[in-house]
Amino acid sequence: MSTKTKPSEEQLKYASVLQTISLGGLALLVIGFFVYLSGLLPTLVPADEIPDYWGMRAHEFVEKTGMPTGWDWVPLLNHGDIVSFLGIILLAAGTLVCFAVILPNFIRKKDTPFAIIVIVQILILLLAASGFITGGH
Amino acid sequence: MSRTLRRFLFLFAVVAITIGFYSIAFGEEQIVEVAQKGSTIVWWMWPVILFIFTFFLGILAVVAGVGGGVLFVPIVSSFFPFNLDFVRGAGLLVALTGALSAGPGLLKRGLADLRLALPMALIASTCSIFGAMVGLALPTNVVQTALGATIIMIVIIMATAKRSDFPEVKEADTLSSVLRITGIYYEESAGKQINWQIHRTPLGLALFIVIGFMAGMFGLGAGWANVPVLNLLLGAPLKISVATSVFLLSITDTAAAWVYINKGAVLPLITVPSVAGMMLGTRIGVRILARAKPKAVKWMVVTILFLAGFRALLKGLGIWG
Repeated sequence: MSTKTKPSEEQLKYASVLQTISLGGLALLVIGFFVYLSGLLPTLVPADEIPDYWGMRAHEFVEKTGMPTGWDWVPLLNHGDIVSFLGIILLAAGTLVCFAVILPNFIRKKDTPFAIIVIVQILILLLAASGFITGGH
Repeated sequence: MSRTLRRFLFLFAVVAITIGFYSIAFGEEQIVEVAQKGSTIVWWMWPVILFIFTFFLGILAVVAGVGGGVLFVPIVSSFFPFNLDFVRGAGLLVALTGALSAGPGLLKRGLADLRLALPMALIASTCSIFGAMVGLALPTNVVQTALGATIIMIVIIMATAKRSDFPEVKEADTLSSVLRITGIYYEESAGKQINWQIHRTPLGLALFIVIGFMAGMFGLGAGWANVPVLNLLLGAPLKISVATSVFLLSITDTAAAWVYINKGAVLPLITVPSVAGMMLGTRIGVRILARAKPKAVKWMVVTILFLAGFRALLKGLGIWG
């Protein structure tokens, strides 16, 4: 590939951060899952009881098991089933981190339209991650 | 030892380790009745079957050139005992992890384009949040019926949509000019650099409202819709469209995934085997791709998808539950 077709600095930066986070997220996903199944840590809902609930709707599952919603899982990190969520959380947070990393590039280049797009995108993802908008039951 | 034999031995080892782990961890558990299916099966076999199933789904998805997410939700919701909420949550994570894994390489090679993706992603991700909220609020049978109808529509799009390697864009529209959505990439098959630009950007953005909403509501990847819009409507070259579509998915599905996570609709016992199986299958699929007959496999997958969509439709309508 010639230098003429080299992707922009912010694109390469985004790619590098995304690669690191997605690899870390996948590793954490597998490790957390084995911690959950191995019984190394206590669980809120033991794995062998999950089949009693997996046919229910999500809100029924939460009502019956008392599993945390939103960010209520944070104080419960000493539980195996919560640890198994960490990889999922990291994978879901990766994009947000990437946007935060490339925002200064757009601001420095005075690329106002894209700086605004990235800021709004960060706000949208923060809103989704906040747990304030959940809809449903 | 032949490569095929090595692959089968590798698969056997993975399955044996998985089954072994589950049986050690839960070996003393009793056989449970799975009420939904009326069959008797040890509970931990379901995640194992799911892992094996998604492994083969990953191979098929790559060889057929179809996104894994779009196959996962209709098939798993039709034939596994999990509620559609958890299947959609897992489906989003399956599509998301696939996109996150492929995204960095595509961005670094200049095939996925950040400037092309970001405006579309902003619209699609916002709407995917609303889609997820609506999907979790509606009764399951309504979502299942709509899913079935959507899958049949996707099958029609897959079967009929044409693709253009280098669509002709005589003049970039005003919006894409203001946003400077244009690029150059090196086309290896032609041995030259290709300049590209897009047109009809406002209409494309409007379509991403629908695409994002459906991605969030059904937990599907949206490559089936992203690629035709980017390629045929906006006029981006096919390679740029496919790669940017994958990258777009990583943003759209992230927004919707948060809604499912926060609602408790992501079960690691369903999600992790699905993600692991799909990623492993995708890697094997890439190796098989060189020797496979993609066209034949694509029609096979389209047929399976149609049957799964039809089954979802009948299940939603209460005709075949």
